[in-house]
Amino acid sequence: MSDSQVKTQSLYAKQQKIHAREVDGFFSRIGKSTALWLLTVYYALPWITWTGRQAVLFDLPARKFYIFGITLWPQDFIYLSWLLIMAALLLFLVTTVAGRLWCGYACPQTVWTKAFVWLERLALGNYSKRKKLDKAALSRSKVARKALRNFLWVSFAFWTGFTFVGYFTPIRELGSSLVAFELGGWETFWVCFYSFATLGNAGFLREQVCKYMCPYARFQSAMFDRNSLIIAYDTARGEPRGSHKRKKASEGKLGDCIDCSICVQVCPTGIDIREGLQYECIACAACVDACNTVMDKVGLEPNLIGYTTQNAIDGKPTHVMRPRTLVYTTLLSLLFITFLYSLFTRNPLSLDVIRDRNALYRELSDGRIENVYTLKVLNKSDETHELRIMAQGLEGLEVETDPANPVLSSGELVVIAARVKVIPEAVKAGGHDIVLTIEAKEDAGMQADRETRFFVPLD
Amino acid sequence: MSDNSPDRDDVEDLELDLPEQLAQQPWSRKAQAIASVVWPSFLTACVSSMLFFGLVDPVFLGDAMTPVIEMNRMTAYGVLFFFFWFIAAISSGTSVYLRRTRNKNARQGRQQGR
Repeated sequence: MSDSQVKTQSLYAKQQKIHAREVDGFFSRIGKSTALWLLTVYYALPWITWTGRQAVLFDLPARKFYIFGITLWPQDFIYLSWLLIMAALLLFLVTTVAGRLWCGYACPQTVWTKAFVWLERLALGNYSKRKKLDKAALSRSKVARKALRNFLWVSFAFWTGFTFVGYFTPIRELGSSLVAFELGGWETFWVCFYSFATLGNAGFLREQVCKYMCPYARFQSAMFDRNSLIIAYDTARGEPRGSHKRKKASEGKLGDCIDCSICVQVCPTGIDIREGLQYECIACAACVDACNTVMDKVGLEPNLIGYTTQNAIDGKPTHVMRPRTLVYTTLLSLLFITFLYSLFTRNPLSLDVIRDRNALYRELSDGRIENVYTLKVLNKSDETHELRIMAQGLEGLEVETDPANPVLSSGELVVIAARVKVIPEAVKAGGHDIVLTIEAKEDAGMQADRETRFFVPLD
Repeated sequence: MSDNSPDRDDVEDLELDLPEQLAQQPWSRKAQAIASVVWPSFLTACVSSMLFFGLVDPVFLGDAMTPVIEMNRMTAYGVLFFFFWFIAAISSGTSVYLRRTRNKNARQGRQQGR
């Protein structure tokens, strides 16, 4: 068990651990409630039942995705890619307008890190106690406290891993087999794998993931412009910084920054925001809250550090609507509308037609010409359907199928051999385009068709 | 300045020493190299597994192999995920290795403006 844990720890131990000072304020409350809400959704969602089955289940062994009332098949893969493209565009749009909101509030890395830090605080106390404990000599109480923290971390990580696997295997069954110690090999493996990943990323690496491992942190600057929301220190107002009492000589010449360094103490990535925008900054707004608290105590205006834009800093107006955001918004709305439309009007019958590869045509004993096709039909609806198969495009086409009256239960894929026949005198020689149609007998609106070629010999 | 002018001494329990965060050492070259091999290849493996298995059912994959093997879906998902991770890690690892073993002349050339 401890193999990967030890590895992660040693990688981290190369540097001093950051114990960021706790902070309370408007933005940290928003951050905490967002994290709480997201975690609740994550842990509760697999337990919700919808019309008799797990509401959200990506059933990989059966290759079916259930999302509330919707069942998605591998044939609907396009929707998943579509969804991912929309998610990426949304991230671009949000980044352009509001900067790294994602990083500071919604990224799983941030959310789970907050949870793990909170657990650590439960076991080891606040940041200064944790710092002292780190420096303290090995003692019984230190070992006990660290053991308690590790126990909390491992349990929470395990619960996270279990829930993760519960999105792919029915979680209630998973739960009962876990209690009975009957988990399958792969299930056990993935629960442990995801638990260790959570423990390593959120418990030990934390914001180091953002600094050294996250590609988004590096390329998000490409989406920034002078109108994007950033967290910045008001240099004009703050500088020259310094303690007002100690520098009485320079009376009136000092800026509002009293150089208390609290903005650095609360920073989980260990940067000094007063040095300007840095890619390490995940926009968690801890420094904003901390500085505002101090400004309030010393009786100065808030927002020496605050959400602003480069234009606002330069005293120019900030525009939310600009070509870049308009393009993203238009694209996103178009994709979203077509996505919804096509998802809810998607055809529950899917049809693939394969021509017989061995013979272009056959001459039957009664003089008619026959072409043979293999039809692959999938019933993606939740009901059973009896099918009718038709051919159009040439005069006098007749279809005979094997099986003669195909019946498809929900989710069933059948392979149907279809022999299409025609009287050669009625049609010209050569290739013709015809359309094969399948139709549910009790619901003529439910149909699917495919175009294919029909060959008639020369004589 | 008057006596009730703002000052950091007014703020209770504020540690005035320079925060230790700033004295922090960045990751070592080795740690950064490991991270930039393991993590991007992991992300790549996730995406490739998703794309691949969205289009291919591993059961049919087993039938198409010579010799034909009985393919269990869960096993196929697991094994192929690690296969993708392994392949991507080789690629990332090679890139990192090439960057780190550039010869000195190339570096000098860059400093002199190529």
